Amino acid sequence: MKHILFMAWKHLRFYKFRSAILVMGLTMTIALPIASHLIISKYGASLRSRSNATPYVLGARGNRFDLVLKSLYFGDADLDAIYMEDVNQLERSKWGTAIPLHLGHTAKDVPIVGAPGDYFAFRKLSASQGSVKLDLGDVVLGSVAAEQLKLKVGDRILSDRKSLYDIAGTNPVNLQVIGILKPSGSADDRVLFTSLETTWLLDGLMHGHPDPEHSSPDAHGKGVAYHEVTPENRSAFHLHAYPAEIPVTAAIITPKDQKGATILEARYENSDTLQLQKCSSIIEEILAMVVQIQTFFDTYYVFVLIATILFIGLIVVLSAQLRRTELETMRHIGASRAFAIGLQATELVMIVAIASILSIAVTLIGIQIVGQYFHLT
Amino acid sequence: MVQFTNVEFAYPDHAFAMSIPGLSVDDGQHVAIIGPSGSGKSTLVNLIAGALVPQKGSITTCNTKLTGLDDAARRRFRLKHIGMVFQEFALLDYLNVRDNILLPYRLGALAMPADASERADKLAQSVGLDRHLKRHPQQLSFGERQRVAICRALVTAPSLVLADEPTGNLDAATTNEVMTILANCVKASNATLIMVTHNTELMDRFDRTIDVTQFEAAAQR
Repeated sequence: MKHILFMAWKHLRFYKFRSAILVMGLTMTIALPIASHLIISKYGASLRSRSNATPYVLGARGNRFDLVLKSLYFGDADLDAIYMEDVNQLERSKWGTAIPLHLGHTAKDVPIVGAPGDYFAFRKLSASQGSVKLDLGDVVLGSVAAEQLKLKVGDRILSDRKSLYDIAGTNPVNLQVIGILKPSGSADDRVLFTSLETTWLLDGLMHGHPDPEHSSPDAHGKGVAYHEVTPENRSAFHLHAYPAEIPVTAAIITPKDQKGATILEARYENSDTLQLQKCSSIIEEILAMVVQIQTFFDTYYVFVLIATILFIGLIVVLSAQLRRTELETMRHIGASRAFAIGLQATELVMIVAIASILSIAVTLIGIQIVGQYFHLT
Repeated sequence: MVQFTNVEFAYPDHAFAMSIPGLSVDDGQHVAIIGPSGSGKSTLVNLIAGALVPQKGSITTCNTKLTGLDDAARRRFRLKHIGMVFQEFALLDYLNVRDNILLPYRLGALAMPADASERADKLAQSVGLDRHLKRHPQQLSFGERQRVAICRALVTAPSLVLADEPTGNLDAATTNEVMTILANCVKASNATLIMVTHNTELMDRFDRTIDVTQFEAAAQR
């Protein structure tokens, strides 16, 4: 057996290009379906885990998928705002509790999530450095965001202008980092948290008297005006809007019990302006679509697999024909037919073995890359 | 060394047949097998080697009655007792010179002795290939390739060397060089040489010649 292994290995090494093509073809055929299944399964688990931990979300009427995904993952979708009054009304009904979220602002392109302190308890988030007790102008960084922005407690970060050309718009706020969260393996790691009031300051709904405006040079050396909240001027800031008009993007709703859930669902079923969505149902709808796509790809992979097997079969047959003289020589010298068959079979097994090992590596690397790209945890 | 008694052989399609009432080759002889193309020279060599089995009669090679052995036993016999040299060199491209010489030991039926590699190196040195041991056949000239094939035939120290037109693809100068090397190596191994050749200029190098046309039987189809 060791001689067959020796000769098979020498043959594969000598015809490197042909062996490499076979190995690569087989690797991709094995790795792609496995990787896609594992990625989708990981994607599903990630979506389910966050959606199961978030019973309902309340938001403006519109695309229900956008509402749920934005509330859970803080994505780019533009949602119409609801008002704090809508949230307060639900809370007054006593059928559930609400955690309002205000989204849409960024700092160095990292999303800013305005949320009350309850959010950290709801998501079981705690600080690895500093604290999570947000005051006006404070920011708490998710662990990945802190690493990405290279910020530590005590540093400041300027929020982004909503539009570069929004000269008449609201000035940015120089936010003070008061804490960094422990990694949670969720979307919370990749955002910045401020109080709701801070996001309203970013909206231009709050200001101070006298307006404590500062200025710093931008990349072109021109002065950029911004707000900075300090212990000295904090009390000077106040809202310039009616409570009913204060906007929030969505609210996470936890019904008191099953009865509360049913009543709330019924209440918002016919609302013209609001929708209440059960997160797990929406995520299952999304996953059902993903599974349908997966089924299509599975069928496709079966055809690719058949094509690859035929392709390898053809190569084996052609190779046997090309090697007829070599194998006849071996027979003349004294090799058995089994030796010749064993030699070719061993080469095939080696190719499959190398391709399988590479497939595992490619799958693991692929999952890692795709996981990072899609923030799957 | 070789004894044929009342041998009759025909290919399965009966396109060619041979009838050999008697033929013997003594130990240590250098014998040339001659005859025109298609007259059965290679068939005779294959019968001597046990690669073909006659329908009638008996063949004894190296004191072993081949006609009484099964296929596996004949293969083991060939590996142990016979060295073969082919016209097309029949070297494996993917093995280097040393591994090509050691090929008979890698075909499964023969255990590789501890000094096999050393013996391969010595054989290569004796034919002037010691600098090419790690080269592959395509990196060698035709003459050098045939020298590798000669070393491969002799590495197991066989008592009989069968060569099927080993100089058929070589020019006159290389033919002489290869023939001298083959004859010297076979002599040094105390082996018997039976060689198929068309080349009449080589006849004086052999102890005797066998013209196979005398064995040609009428085709039965």
